[in-house]
Amino acid sequence: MEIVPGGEVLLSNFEVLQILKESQSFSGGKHGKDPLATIRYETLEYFKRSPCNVQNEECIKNLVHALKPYKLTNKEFLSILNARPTAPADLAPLLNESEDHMTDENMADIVQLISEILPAPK
Amino acid sequence: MFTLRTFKMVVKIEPRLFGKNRNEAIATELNKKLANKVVINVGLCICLYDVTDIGVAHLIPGDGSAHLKVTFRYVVFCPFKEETIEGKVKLCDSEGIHVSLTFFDDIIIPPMHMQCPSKFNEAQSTWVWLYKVDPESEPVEMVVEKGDDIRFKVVELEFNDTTPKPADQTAGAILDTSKDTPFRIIAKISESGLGLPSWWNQEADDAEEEEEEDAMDVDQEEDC
Repeated sequence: MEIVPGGEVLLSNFEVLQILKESQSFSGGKHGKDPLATIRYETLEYFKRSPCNVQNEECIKNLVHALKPYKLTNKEFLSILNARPTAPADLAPLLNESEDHMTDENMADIVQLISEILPAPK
Repeated sequence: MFTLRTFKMVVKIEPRLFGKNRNEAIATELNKKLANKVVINVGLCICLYDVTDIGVAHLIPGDGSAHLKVTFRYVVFCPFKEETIEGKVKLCDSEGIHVSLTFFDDIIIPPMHMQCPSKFNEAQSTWVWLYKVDPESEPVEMVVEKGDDIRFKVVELEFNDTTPKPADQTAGAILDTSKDTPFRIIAKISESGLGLPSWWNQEADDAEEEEEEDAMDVDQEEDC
């Protein structure tokens, strides 16, 4: 097998959840055993405890818009989306590159925006 | 974090599938080959995303199957260095804290990447961080045990080629069992905000103190 370099795309947990859910209806075991059965079950089990379970496209678009002024990197934004931090102490480890130019007020504002826009996990 | 990676591969479609939908047959073949498998230096393969190109079918003498060169994108789990992830403690032993993400189990936090000073409690199989609010006070025991939610940062990704080598098959050969996991994540909890979420929630007010504490930990890390 050949690995094509470049063209790497980051996915949020929410997107992976949607892909796995779609694959469920697609591979209905027409060719015998479903090769995705184990990995799908285990990954969905992991997502059950994750905030992505209650997210939807609309709230993610709103968050992209709301966090624009803070100039986060792609990785940082996706980490925030996946983890849904609710306190500045939870947010700090997710910011690897923007940490230095971020004030305490910025952090508090971001946490506030996150809890307003992203639904709380059940 | 999950990523999409592009691969090229020759897929063999057996004659019994010729009457069926070709795209479906290719998708099933690709998932059979890759789902839940580790590709060295790429990560753990989860599921097929899409097929972007299907080449011309080739026949090979003596084989009735169609061989197609397929370009496709696959969902792969491969965290980046410094990524923060939350998992569950699977087991604590003298090697460190083993963490599981349900679909991926080979994550280890070695003692050198824990808060300092930390010690292993053999009787209870727990790791304990002896946290001192100030240098003179009695240390508070912050316990990590099996089943706890734990937040960690990725330090290093280790890939091992586990394909059996000819030498391994000779009788009496010594197998290096430390290399039996194809993909392992070395993680750390030695920064503020990492470890059990409950460690930091109660102390949100003392954020500054934590940072000082953290700076001290970095200095002490080499000692442990």
